[in-house]
Amino acid sequence: MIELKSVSKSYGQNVVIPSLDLKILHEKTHCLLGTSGSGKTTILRLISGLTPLNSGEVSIQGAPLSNLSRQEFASKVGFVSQDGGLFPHMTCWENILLPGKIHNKDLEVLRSRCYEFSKMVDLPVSLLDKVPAQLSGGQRQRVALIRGLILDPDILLLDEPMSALDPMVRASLQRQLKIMFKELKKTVLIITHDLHEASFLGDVIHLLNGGRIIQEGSFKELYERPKEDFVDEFLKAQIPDELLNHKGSQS
Amino acid sequence: MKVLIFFILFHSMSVFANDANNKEPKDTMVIGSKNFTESYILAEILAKIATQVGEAKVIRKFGMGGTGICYQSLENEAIDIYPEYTGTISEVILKKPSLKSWNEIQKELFKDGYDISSEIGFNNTYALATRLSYATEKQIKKISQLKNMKSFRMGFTHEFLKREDGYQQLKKHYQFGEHDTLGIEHSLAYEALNSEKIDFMEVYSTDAKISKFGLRVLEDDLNFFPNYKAILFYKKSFSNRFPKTYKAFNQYLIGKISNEQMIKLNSLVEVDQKSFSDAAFAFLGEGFSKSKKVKNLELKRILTLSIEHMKLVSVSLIFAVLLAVPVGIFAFHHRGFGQVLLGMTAIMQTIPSLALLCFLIPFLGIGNPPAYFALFLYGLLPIARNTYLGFSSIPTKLIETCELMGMSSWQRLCYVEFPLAFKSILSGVQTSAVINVGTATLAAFIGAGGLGTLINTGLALNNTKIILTGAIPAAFLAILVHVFFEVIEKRNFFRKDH
Ligand SMILES: Nc1ncnc2c1ncn2[C@@H]1O[C@H](COP(=O)(O)OP(=O)(O)OP(=O)(O)O)[C@@H](O)[C@H]1O
Ligand SMILES: [Mg+2]
Repeated sequence: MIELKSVSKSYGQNVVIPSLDLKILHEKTHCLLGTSGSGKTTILRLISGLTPLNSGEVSIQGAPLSNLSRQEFASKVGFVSQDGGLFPHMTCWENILLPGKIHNKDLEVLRSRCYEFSKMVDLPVSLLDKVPAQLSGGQRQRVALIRGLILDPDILLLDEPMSALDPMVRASLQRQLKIMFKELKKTVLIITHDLHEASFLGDVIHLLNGGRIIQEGSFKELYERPKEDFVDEFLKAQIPDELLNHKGSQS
Repeated sequence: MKVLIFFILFHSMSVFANDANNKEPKDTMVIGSKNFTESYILAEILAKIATQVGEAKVIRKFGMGGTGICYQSLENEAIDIYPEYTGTISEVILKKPSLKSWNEIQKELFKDGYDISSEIGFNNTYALATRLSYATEKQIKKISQLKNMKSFRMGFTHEFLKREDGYQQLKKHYQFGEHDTLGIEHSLAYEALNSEKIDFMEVYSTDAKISKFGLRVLEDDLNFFPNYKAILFYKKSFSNRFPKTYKAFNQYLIGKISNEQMIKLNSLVEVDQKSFSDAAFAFLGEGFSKSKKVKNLELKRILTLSIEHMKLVSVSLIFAVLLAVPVGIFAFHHRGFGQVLLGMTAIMQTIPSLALLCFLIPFLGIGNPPAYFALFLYGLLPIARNTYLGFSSIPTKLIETCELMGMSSWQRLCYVEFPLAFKSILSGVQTSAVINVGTATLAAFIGAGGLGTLINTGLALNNTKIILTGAIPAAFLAILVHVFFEVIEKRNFFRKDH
């Protein structure tokens, strides 16, 4: 569905992605997991064409990225960037409906879809009349998420869309999203720091370090058969001790 | 809001359409003058005679900023006639100071398609003057008498002391020996002479102060000072186009004003605070109909001029916005070429206003078009710069979001870039507007009206009150404009986050 073939990227001397092969499967949810600065956002930017790559090839639904116009790309792919990217001069409503205006969609349909989504992400609709600066970080993230989903695109690229949410809202949102991704058959690439989120949402997890994919597979595979010490360390850092002990006693 | 903008646009278009046709139709005569009292009075006399003759509709373009502008205007038929001096023509216009006599000058001008009238009579040149009491006591009438006098004190401007053709030459020419000379500011020299601190000073021979202080002007009997005989300056065709008026000028004005009379007329205005029109009537006498023009109330005149002023500023500003905003946007998208464009607008900013106005006369004539155009040029830089800065300050993140949404560049401009840059653009427009309220006062120098007319007249008369009647409303307008833009900014139509 989305395919990266020996893609590399460096900023001057700084090689961020040495050589990357990545496949995002049709109607699956993939999680990019990795330490800060490991190149997660960079990969997402390469896929969306915001950052030009040094070598290699990106294709979306079989078509090379370079052949897709911005309009075509936007109608296929919904995007939520790490800091939301909401327009400060518009109300949240205007932010959310803007993609619809751009693509000449029926705004009434989008409006009712927005009501639905805001219930799903647990965001009071009354907040949508405000401008982003008047919202909390977590509220802004949910507005950005609604905007990314509003055109109902097949593919979703989400850069830490829930990082600023409190655990309760996040847990319920994760459940809701998981149901939605499956029901609506979305192809999803979601970036996260959070191991639990990755294990819960991800059909496939790609663990990244220094721009290289150390290991990919289901959470179970990573957990039970870590390829490198790094994988073990990364997982251990986030799994409560009791569980680790449990694992220790098993092996 | 939109309707208002369209209204202003439409209105301003029609202003330009009217003004583009600057060359007056055959049956109008445009009379010009320079911006000092004597020139105003002479031109007013011309206007009154021409009105009386009724051969053509008379338009007054008085108080233009200097010989260059007057001559340019004449050349481009933006004016038809104005009072000039033979010395100025040979030195400034023909640039042949060797041409001294009326005949030589007329012959030379005629070759280029111009003509001058016979002498009006007086000669406005440098002269030596002394107190009347001193003159009678010593019985002096001519400069040549100084040679035989024992001791006297002279006060001259620093310029006259230093100039090649100034004091040193004068001394040589009239062969008088070494005497006390004092470098002194011109206006102070009169007081110094009056209070017997000096005995002689240099004056302009028709200066109103000669009459005010009761001075005697010494005859330049050995012809040291160049001639600045007043004449009328026009194109050859003038006498054919307006034969009756031409005849009337010759009949009523030419040869009719002596130095003494001109001093009196000047002092009517400068000392007795009469209007130019009153001075003109004083010369022409009762035969001329006075009643036609209803005298404007001072306040009404200030209001009219203020409106004229704001029209100059607003119309030029609208066109400046229409060009500068796209230029600023273009500069943002094409940094290299953009810098060149911004550089060019910056250069325009450095051209002195009067020089620019003068430079525009061959292309646009005088009056409103060059004034609008010059103000337009001056308005460009702040707007273009601020547009550029406004666009540059938009975070890259947001531009990327636009791309990911699949916006066309036009949509991006309308939905995101323009609203976000609006504040910056607006403050550029504000800067331009406020600056131009000031610059527009110079428009009066080329006959475009506005509050500068009052400042100009006040300067010519050295009358602070009249200067202030122009300067205070201008300052007030500047504040008004400033506040107007502050209010718009507070409203900020394009942003909800305020
Ligand atoms: N525009 C840029 N110019 C130079 N270096 C960059 C640029 N963008 C990213 N980098 C570098 O690339 C590396 C990877 O950055 P990236 O943003 O992809 O990290 P990340 O995995 O998303 O981290 P985080 O979890 O903190 O968001 C970092 O070392 C960063 O310094
Ligand atoms: Mg990141």
